[in-house]
Amino acid sequence: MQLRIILDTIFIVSVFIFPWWLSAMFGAALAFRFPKFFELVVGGLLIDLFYGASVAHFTYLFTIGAIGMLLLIEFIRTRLRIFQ
Amino acid sequence: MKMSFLRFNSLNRRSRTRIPSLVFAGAFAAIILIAVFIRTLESGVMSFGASVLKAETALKQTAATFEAALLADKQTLFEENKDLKKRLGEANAKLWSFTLLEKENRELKALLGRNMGDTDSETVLATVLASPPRSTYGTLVLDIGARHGITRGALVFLGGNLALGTISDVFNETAKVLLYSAAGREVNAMLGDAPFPVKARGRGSEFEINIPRGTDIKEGDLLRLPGIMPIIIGVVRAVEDEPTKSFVRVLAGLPANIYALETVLVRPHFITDTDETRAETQNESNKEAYP
Repeated sequence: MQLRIILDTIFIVSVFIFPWWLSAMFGAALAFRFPKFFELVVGGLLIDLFYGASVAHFTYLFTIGAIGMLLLIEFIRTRLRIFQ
Repeated sequence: MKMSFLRFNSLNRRSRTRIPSLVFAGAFAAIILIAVFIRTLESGVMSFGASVLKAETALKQTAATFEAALLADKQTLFEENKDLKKRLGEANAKLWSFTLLEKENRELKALLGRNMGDTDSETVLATVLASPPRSTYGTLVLDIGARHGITRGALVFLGGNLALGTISDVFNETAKVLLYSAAGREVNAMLGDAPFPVKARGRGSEFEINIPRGTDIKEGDLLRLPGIMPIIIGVVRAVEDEPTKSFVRVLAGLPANIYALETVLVRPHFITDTDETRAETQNESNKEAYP
């Protein structure tokens, strides 16, 4: 639990500091490591809220992408022997 | 020989079906919560994000100071190079402005005393906290906001008459700029000497314009906002003319490198009549008419 909180903090800070693809890769790795990693959706939402303009198209692209990625990773995770 | 298999009992099967349903339920609940509290969240996120980026900038400056102390000679050269590049960019920007201003000056003299209005209206200097590629939607995050008199729709300049975009969202201490070149954004503009307005479509770091064949457009021509004030938003970099097509594809680059922006100028009282502000004004007048 302690490790998850530390990595969560690093992940959230990385959303603001690193390019989106680096944060996405880090988030995906964490989603494989920890079950039900809803922080990934929070990360997507943070990107959308911080960088997205209200007048632009696809304002919640990253939130939707993060939900999709989380569902996919969760689907794969439950079928991998190493995570049983 | 001992073999290991996955345990496939009833408990495991139940947990398997439960996990996706839990994920779905969680995602659904999150979407509902986000939809309800989105505006409150956005303000908090902007404040937190700006603090993180300010801390990062301070850390970078400290690191640069240490580096300068350790590698004095290399650092001097590096700084000099950086400074010269910056000056070159500024000089180029001024040159483009002067070309346009000279032409306009001639036209105005011909019109005998036409007043251009107050071009040096109040200007606020802003530090760019985040710019592309870090910022994913073709936006800039500035360290100034409503407290500094910034309003939605205000023009953001690089310097002189080079405009980058407009303020799209204003918070207390921060503001977001939607670049004219943001992917999918369309801007009505004037191109070179073409006598008609064109629709410039943003492609991230450049504009794409389709104009009828036979229009005299060449590399170096300016893309500017329509109006009395000559506001440059791009420079023609390439003209793709295929004889089989009736339209010519023009690619216009930005007047500055948006990936290395440090500061910009915001003119809070200089609001252009862009599509967004026009739509917004229309919405507000509709609300007043039909409350």
